[in-house]
Amino acid sequence: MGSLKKIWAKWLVISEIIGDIVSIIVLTIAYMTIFLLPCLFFTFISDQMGKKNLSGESYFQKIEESQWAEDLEEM
Amino acid sequence: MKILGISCHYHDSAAALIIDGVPVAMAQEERFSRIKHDSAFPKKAIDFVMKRGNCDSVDYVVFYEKPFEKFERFAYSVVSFFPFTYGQFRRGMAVYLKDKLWVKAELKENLHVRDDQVLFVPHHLSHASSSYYCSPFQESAILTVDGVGEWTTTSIGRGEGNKIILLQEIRYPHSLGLLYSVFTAFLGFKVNDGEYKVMGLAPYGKPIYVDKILKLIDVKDDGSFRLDLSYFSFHTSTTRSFNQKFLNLFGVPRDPQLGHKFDQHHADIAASIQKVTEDILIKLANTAYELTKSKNLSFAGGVALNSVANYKLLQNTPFENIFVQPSAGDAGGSLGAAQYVYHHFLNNDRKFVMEHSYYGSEYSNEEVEKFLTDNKIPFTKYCNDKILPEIAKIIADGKVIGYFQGRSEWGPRALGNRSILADARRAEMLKTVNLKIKFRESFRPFAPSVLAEDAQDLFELPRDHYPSRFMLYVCPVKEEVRKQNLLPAITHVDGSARPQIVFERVNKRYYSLLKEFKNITGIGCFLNTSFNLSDEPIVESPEDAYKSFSKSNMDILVLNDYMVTKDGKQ
Repeated sequence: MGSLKKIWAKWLVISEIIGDIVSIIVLTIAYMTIFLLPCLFFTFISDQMGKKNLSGESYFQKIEESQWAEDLEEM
Repeated sequence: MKILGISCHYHDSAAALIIDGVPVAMAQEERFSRIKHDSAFPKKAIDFVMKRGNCDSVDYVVFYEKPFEKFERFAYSVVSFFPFTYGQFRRGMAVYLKDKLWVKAELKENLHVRDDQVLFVPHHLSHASSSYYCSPFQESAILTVDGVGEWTTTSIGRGEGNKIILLQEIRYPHSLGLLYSVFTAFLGFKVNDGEYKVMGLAPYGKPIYVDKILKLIDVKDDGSFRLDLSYFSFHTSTTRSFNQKFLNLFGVPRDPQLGHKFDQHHADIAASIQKVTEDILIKLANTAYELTKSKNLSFAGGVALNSVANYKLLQNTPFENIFVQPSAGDAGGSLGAAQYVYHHFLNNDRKFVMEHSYYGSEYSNEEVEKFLTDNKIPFTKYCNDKILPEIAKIIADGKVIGYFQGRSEWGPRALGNRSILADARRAEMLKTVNLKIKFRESFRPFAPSVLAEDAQDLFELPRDHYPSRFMLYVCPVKEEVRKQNLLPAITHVDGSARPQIVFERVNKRYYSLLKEFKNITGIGCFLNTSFNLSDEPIVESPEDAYKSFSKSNMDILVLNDYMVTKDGKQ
């Protein structure tokens, strides 16, 4: 019984370490997904939004008829 | 066919009721709630317009923008500038989740209409409609410029008969309205409120910072533009619209606590942003002309309230006629949305031209007398307009009058029915009315009301242009008038003025008052400023008028045919 208890205690320690490692990996992936990757992506988008057009081309966008004559019941 | 237009949940909420295409009653909520620029659901304004139009129900309720598209822009913007937009996200979401996304349910609940009776017109289409469908034009170029709607900040279109088509646009975050507002904040004034103060400050300065401002905005020959967002924070912050890079360029912002004091540097900045705005608008209007080849321009959006720029458009573009609706900002969107549905969506012909702006509430002599009697306020009653020569004499004697008659005005300008009147020939009136009566900045100019037949003798104004009925042109005072210093209280430091042309057929009683004043003084023109104290909405009821009169140094209060004096003498 005594040896079983020792094995169980060791297993608890090992599983705690494995749990910690898994937690760290999961949290790192979550952090990357939630914060870092969007940051990189959004920085790219915001750069595009503020991008200067040096060619002299117009900044106007044409409005397609479907855009302005859309269903007025839609919010 | 009864259509109710609504604008709310941003700023200047309003309701407009049109019956068979003709506006019968329109009002901003602020007039009733007494909260300046009130953005709440306009319950009181709706109650008023429905009562005035004798309506229990309407065929359609139309909202002036598309809330979901606006939310899409908000979400995209928040995501694009993450993580700097956390504060904006937190505050914005609270507002959207609480109010903005439930507009349809709110409209249905408050107005007892079915799902298919609630319609949503895009923001800039509401602006375009509010100008074109009120104009006398059968065809016209259309230009709309404001802060931002759903996505659009600027649009060019064409109106023909009862149809409107928007052709091209500039989208958020690139906005001329927002650029002007950034400088409004930098100059120590409230955004969405103090823009006209920047316009008033500009003539004290020289536009020496135009080149610096053009670092912030890349403008093409066709007037299209793009902001360099690295100078701004309006897209990431709810509290500050410019950042350190902007400050490095323009120096220390003007302290809002300075009140009427300003230094030359800030006046020069005001002059510079005004100049850049005018130049861009001229280019945009020229593009609108090229696209439509129309001689007429319908101009709308908050930027169309820049009456200095409006006159410059007339001077510097091929357009021969310009129309600006008196409520050109977001409040006017309620009217435009209703008109768009009636004319464009339901294909009804046009039969309305906006000749005046008197669409608000009205109080009878009986109601005025009851108010005065109930509150034990001494008064003198006059019959059959006999009060008019008396008022004219009092103004000519240098007294200041709070003047209340007929239906209140639609839009931010008081045009003779809720006005403070004084003698424009007396230079001291500028200081007296600014500092002792309205308690506002002393640099701000006052506008005159002038008899239509005398307007061209006193001001460099074209005949029969609608914006001058609504104080929406700032034009030069005639040189001989300036030389003789005939109208010092309304002549701005650069020799300009913002006259309201008064026609007999439009406002007979106010016209008669000007005529009486001319009989006494030889000049059919006096100072007219809105009847409100600083940071208060224009008065709506006799009670509001009496409160403002009591709190200020006005000499006389006129409520329809009743005169009230400060000392209570009859």
